[in-house]
Amino acid sequence: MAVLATQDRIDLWAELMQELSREREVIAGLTKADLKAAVDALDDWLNTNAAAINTAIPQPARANLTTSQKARLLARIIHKRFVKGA
Amino acid sequence: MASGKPVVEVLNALPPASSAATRDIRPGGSTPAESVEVFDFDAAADEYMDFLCRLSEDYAGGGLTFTLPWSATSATSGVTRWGIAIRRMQDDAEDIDTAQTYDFNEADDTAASASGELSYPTITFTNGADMDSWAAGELAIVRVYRNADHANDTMTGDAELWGIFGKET
Repeated sequence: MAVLATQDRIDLWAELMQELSREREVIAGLTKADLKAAVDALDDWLNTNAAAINTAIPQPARANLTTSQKARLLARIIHKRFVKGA
Repeated sequence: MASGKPVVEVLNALPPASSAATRDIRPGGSTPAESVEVFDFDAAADEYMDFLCRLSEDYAGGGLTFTLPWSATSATSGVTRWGIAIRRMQDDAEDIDTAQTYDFNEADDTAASASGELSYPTITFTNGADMDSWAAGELAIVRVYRNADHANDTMTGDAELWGIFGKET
């Protein structure tokens, strides 16, 4: 899978700032451009390491889950780790 | 001769039909908590809020200086770029049904060091065309916006406008 489209990255960046504002999460020491660079870098990293992430999934899940299902699994794990502060 | 008086009477806030800043409540830290009504201006898209204002009879023909008290919703650094423009509603002359090209005067302002603290930037207008030749006793639409896509606007998250006030300078 390719990296997110330019507009998708911009939308994600804007939504992230709106979400942080809604929750009044303090953001210290960085600019909008810094935050956008973080979005871009993480998306690039996920793209570069997609194969390694796939390899980390044991069989038979690796063979039988669809790409979409694997993405959902990864998103769920990252979200749960965020919720639990891990 | 400028009077130095607070000649701009703010009568009402009028959200424009699109791209309006969002009304929000900034809760205070007291018990019971204060509930400050603010207007949230987005960090990624230009948003606007109009204020219906009257220029008082005390106005003596000088320029105007507006102050925009604001806080950051979440940021503790970075710059917000504010703009103000005036649409004079002249007697039997200005038709609100016609389109107005708002001519903004702008200023950059750095966020306060804590997100609940206020900053008080000012934006000035010279007498005459710069303030749309607004005259004593008349109403005007005073449009405020955050120029979020300007290179100088670097602050993450929403900028919360608490209100506006203006004096003659």
